Amino acid sequence: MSFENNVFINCPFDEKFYPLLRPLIFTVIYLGLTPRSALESLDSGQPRIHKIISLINESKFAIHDLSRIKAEKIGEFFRLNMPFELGLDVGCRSFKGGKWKNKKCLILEAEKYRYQAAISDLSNSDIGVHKNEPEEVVSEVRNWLNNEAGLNAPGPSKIWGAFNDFMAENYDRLTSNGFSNKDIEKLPITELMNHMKEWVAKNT
Amino acid sequence: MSKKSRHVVPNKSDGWSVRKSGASRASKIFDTQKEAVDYARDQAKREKSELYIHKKDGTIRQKNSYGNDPCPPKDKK
Repeated sequence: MSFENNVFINCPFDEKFYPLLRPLIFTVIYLGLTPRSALESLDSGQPRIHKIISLINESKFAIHDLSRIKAEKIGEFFRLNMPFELGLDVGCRSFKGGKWKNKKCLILEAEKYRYQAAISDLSNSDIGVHKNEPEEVVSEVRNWLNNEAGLNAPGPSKIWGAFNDFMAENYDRLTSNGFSNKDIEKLPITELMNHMKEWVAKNT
Repeated sequence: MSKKSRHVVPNKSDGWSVRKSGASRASKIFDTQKEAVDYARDQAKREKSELYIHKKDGTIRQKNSYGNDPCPPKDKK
C-alpha cells in the first residue's frame, strides 16, 4: 500500500451510513486506489487515535464526511470525530512538509453551506455535496479523484452501474453462503471491501 | 466478467432505470417502478437471465431468475 494510492476514509462506520459508505468505498477501489480506515486493524490493544494518525501519515488522499456531525434529537451529542480527524489531516499537510505538503482532501456534506455553522474556519472551502444520495456520492468522489489523482476515470454512470452489478453478484454469493437479507445489510465493512476488491480485479 | 442480468434501479431524481449488466448507461428509463419491472422482466425472460430489483442504495430488494438458477425464486406475477 503506497502513500500515493492510499485514500484515508474518515466517515461514520455505523449501519445508518452504510447506504453512502458502500458506494464511496466501491468508487475508490474501482478507480484503482486503496481505501484505508481505522477498521482495518482490529487490535483492541492499539489506541484508535494511534491507528488514525498512522493512516493519515500513510495516505496522500483523504475523504472526510461531515454530514453526520449534527445531533439528530434533543440531548444527543453531536459527533466530533470526523472534524477532529479532518483537523489532524490538514495539520499534517500544513506542518509536516516533504511529500505530505501535497496531501489532498475532499470534504463531503449533505447540504452546501450547513457545515459552516459548525466549522466557520472552513468557509469558502470547496466541498462535495452528496444530498444523502448514494449515486451522488459516486459522482462527487469520482470527479474529485479524477482531478486530484490525475486519473482518466470512466464516467460516474458507468461506475454506478458497476456498483449495482457488484451488489447483485455479492447478494448471490452471500445468499448461497447462508446469509439472510439482514445479514447482508449488516455485512462488516472490512469483509465488504474484500469482496469489492475481488470483484473489481475480476471485472475491470 | 459479470453474468448476464437485468437491473431495475431507482433514479436519484425521479423515475426508474433498466440496465443490462456491464452496460455504462440505462437501456431505458420509466416513470414508474411497475413499468420498469415489467419491461425488465420481459427482457430477462427473453435472455434467460437474472432480474434484480435494487433499492436506492444499490442493495437488492428482489431477485427473480429466468436462467439456469437451480433454485429460482418464484415469480408471483
